[in-house]
Amino acid sequence: MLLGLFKIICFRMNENIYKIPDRAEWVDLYANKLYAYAFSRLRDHAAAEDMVQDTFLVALEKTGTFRGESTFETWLIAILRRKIVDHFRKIAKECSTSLNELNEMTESSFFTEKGKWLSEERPAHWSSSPMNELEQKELRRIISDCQSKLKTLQQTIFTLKYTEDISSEDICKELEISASNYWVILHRVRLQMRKCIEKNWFVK
Amino acid sequence: MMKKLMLSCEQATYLSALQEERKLSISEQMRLRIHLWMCVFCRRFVRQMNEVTSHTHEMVDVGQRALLSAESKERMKKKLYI
Repeated sequence: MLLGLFKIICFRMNENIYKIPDRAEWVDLYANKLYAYAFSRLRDHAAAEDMVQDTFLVALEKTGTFRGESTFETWLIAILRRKIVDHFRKIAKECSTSLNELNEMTESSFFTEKGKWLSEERPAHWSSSPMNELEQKELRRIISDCQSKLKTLQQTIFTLKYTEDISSEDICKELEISASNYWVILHRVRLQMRKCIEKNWFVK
Repeated sequence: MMKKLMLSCEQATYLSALQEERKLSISEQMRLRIHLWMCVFCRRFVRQMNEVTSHTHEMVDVGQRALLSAESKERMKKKLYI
């Protein structure tokens, strides 16, 4: 009887080791999931598709490094996530003018010299009544629009922080910017996003 | 003395971003709380930004429902299985 129990335990343990499905099935099994993951972050169909393709290619190459500690799907998503961060980093590097951008950003001001809100920049009251579904949808469209209007570096930081939930420390490392510049940019982005949304939604 | 104690709106909104990530020092916390208590605009700013960022997180979930077309899948298969 003990032996039987032992066999059951062994069987259970074997179950925990994740296997790689036949590669002919990868696209059917995982493409949609990966695509949705990429699209929700990149908001660009072509780019998302490319990235899924690349993920499969990397997976083909590195099949040997899959240890079966997590599901194959989790492993694929980890590769994809890495690719997305790389993509953002490349964009941030491409705007090598990042510091110019920083100077430019601080030019148009939200505050007086003493640090009080300029009268035209003061946050207005947003309706406090709960939004219906249509309004929520509209608000999200506006957030998306405002996000796409941000400058590249700002947009990247906003996306990494508020959709990817990557810590500021990691964002600084990935984008190779100093912590103090990062906080200045993030502060700026928040001010701009709020203003943009207000302009397009709440005050008509 | 009072000046040192008081945050400007610029500083208060800056701290509100910082606060999302790290614990503020006790003096920062106190000063931010006092400022928000007194300043309706900064209070709105913090509340509205919280609302916006809660949406950005949900927006990801909505995007998660995007589907890949059958043609795209075929294209991928061709590239992968040659």
